[in-house]
Amino acid sequence: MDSQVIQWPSQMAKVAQLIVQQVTSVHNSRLGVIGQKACRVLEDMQALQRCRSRLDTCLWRGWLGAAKSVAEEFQSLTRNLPHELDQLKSALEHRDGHMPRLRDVFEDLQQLENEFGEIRWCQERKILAVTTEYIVLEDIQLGPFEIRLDISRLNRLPSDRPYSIVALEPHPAASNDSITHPHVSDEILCAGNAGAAIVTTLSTGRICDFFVLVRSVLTTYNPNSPYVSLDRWEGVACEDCGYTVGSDDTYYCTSCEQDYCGDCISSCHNCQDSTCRSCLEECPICGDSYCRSCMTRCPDCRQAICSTCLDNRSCSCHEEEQEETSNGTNQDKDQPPRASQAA
Amino acid sequence: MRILFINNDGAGFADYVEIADGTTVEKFFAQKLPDRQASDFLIRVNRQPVAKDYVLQEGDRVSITPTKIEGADAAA
Repeated sequence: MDSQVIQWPSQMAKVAQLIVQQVTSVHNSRLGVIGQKACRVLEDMQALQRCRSRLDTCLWRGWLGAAKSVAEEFQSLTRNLPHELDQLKSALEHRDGHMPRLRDVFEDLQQLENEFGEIRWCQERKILAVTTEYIVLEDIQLGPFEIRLDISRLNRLPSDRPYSIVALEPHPAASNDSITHPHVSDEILCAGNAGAAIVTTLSTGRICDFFVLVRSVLTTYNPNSPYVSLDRWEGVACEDCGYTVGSDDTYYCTSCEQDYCGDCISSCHNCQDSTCRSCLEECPICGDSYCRSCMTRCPDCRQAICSTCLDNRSCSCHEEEQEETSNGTNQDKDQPPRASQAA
Repeated sequence: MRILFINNDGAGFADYVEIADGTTVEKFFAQKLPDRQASDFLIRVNRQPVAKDYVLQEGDRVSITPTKIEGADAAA
């Protein structure tokens, strides 16, 4: 980005003016939405008024059938009205009474300069940027980040996120180059607890507060919800061969609960759970590999076999039994029938 | 006495609040954010850092911004 350090009050004043224009546009559009929502409520209320007049007429003339049908219209309108009122209430809650003055925004930019040392401006792209300190989280060096605010997109708030986070000395996660910070992916910050305050600061022109809030997110690690956790930032060492792989390329053995690389992982022939080679056992009957949960013992000979072979009574001791039974049956066939049977 | 209070903790709203004469920054912080540590916040009065015993004046602009905020991943 071709940007320059803002050095002169006149440059700062121009940027402040642009910010005020954009924020004013957000306010105008929000006020416009309030008008639209209010119109819908009024239309519903006028319809209610018309219904009431018609109901009075029907009752006065004794048209009970028609009165019933008007009552149904009432029902439909009263169902709709609370929804329209909620929409109006929501639009009113999202408006903000604090319209920034040019002087406020100018002073905000001066404060921003004090907080961050210098501020940069890209005239062509209308981007205001500051640089954070060198960030280290849990001994992982992430480097400094540039927080870029696209002033030309401020008027698209709150649906748009007009800012980006650029790693100046990127040290991305081993598993994903686009993740340069546990809470930044593809230069987009997932602001978490700061989300609401960030929208408020931008839509009220409190530019310095916005940058300070973003810096607070960047200098804090939330281990409960990172794109990639810091303990896996450098990748994960395979428990078997020791080779370091990105966390997306690791496989978890459900038996020993350790991480393995693609070459050292296999799967259970029965449940298909990923299992490391040392946790797999070969069934002596069918020759396939199974995890510990899918291996069992033959209740008769106590030999370790897979549950499928047990169900199929394929254990060698059962085969012997079957052979014996089969031989016995053949011998029976050779013997002459007993007298009672013959009778 | 009325001052402008900008609370960037939570939704980040700004509002005018009434305070008693002689209220220091330290006391004001304790009133507005009880059970929180002032060291976890960037406190500015009229956009400037001040000592904790600074006595607030009519019309002062006080902003309190957390310095530790938990981010998330997009799915969170």
